[in-house]
Amino acid sequence: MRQAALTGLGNESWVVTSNASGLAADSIAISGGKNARRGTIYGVYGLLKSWGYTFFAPTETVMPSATALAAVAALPINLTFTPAMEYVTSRRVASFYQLHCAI
Amino acid sequence: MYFRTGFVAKYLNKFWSSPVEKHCAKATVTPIAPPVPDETPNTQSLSSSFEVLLAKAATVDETFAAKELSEMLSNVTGTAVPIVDTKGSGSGTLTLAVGYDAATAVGLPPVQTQSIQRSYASTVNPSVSCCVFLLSN
Repeated sequence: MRQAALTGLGNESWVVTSNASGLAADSIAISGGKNARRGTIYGVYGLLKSWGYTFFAPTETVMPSATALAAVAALPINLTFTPAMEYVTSRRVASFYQLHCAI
Repeated sequence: MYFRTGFVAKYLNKFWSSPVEKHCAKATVTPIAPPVPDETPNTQSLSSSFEVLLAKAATVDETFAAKELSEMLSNVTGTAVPIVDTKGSGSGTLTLAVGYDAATAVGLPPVQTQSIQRSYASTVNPSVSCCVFLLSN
């Protein structure tokens, strides 16, 4: 992870890292951009997915075992994600309705 | 035709389905072993292994993200994952810094200046961008 880890993160982008230079030991930083509305929660879900959580539906979540979680949590992690568009879900859903449901 | 069809059907039922019926009748139901619970978490590495660091100046969205992360981890570990505003010093504790200010608190470099961002975005020569960065600092 380069020095500019938190630069250029908008509302949707996020970074999850445990091996950035200067990061305290036994720490994982999860962050979106400054004052971002959604980046941080997306980062949380990104971290959980990489640790074995699977979110099938709002009420259906498959979780890893405690031993598996302990094993993967000890590994270094370095994730960065920037979506191609803002409002990833909302706009796609909105455009779908505009295309198929507007008469 | 109807007679032949019915005869064939009876013939098939009599000789072809009977082995299946016998098999089903003889089949014994083996009880499925109950799921083996997860091993008891290692006290040193799990019970106190996570803490969520949330800065005091965190936004509402970051607070929600921290609570969600704490709850998800608690569901697996079986112990409450505390949300703290100061990094603990417990050995073996993995600190999950949630949010912009928390991330910078554990050492992730914050946004420097807008000029730095533009330099990184517009410069393709890494040596030039490095010089710009050093000069700005």
